[in-house]
Amino acid sequence: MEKPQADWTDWFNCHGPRLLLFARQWAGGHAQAQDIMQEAFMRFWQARDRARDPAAYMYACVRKCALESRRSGRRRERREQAAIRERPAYVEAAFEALPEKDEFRRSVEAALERLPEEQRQALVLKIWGELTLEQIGQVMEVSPNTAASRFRYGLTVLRRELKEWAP
Amino acid sequence: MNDLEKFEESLRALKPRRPDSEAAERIQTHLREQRPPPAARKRLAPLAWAAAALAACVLISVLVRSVTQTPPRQPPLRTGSVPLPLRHVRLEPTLRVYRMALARSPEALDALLLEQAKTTLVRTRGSDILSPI
Repeated sequence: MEKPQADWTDWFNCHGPRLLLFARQWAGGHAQAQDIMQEAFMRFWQARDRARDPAAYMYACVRKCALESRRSGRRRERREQAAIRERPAYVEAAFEALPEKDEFRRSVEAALERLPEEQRQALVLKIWGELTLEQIGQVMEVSPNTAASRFRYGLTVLRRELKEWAP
Repeated sequence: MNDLEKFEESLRALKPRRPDSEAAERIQTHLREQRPPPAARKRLAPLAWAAAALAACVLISVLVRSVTQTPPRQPPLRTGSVPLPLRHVRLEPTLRVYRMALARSPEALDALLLEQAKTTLVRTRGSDILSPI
């Protein structure tokens, strides 16, 4: 009887961090990103049986919730204010802290922030979401070719920005 | 593997931050509220089926009654065919009447035939066929 719950926790443990990172591409902070991710995951979970490609659909839910949140704006402001009150800025990291790569992590986060939104989303979906270019196209509602060009251009710019760590 | 792919690999080594435990708790609470637990759903399922069957029976009985209790069709009214008043009905003498008249007397038969002939004459002239002679 507990199987359905176990299912969702499995999904959440596996995809939660990636969804959260994707949600951060719209959110002002960690708290708002978590809010978006949570709502998106619940929508996804209730409709997952109807999804042709559950992985792509999951990220599409995040995108939809993020766009709705951006449009409404009210919750964003509230969560941002709460985040500012509750947490110091350094906790707002998008990636897990790695002692040996902490400077690299911070540089990547800063470089991602500077990228255009569409390129940043394509990078996150491809590298950390592990989606194919076709799936990225589905999520972002563009053709796979457009998704590929956004990803490649974003990666090139990011590599240029992080040339001291780039191979 | 070219330089860009190597760079992609180095980025992939960074692991996205995990959501807070409260997020999972909130999802759990929401999903629990959203749908009743399986045991409750199992209990409710027979009731739902019974209600549906009852509704179907009521619907069928209403339909059957509406079909069987259709009022009998009224004969169509014939406009313009008003039954004649009794005073206008004039019966022709039957064969029996003629025979009875002959049995009485030949004169009686003659009188009957004469009266009948007068009546026929009036009709052929186009006068009021029902007026008394």
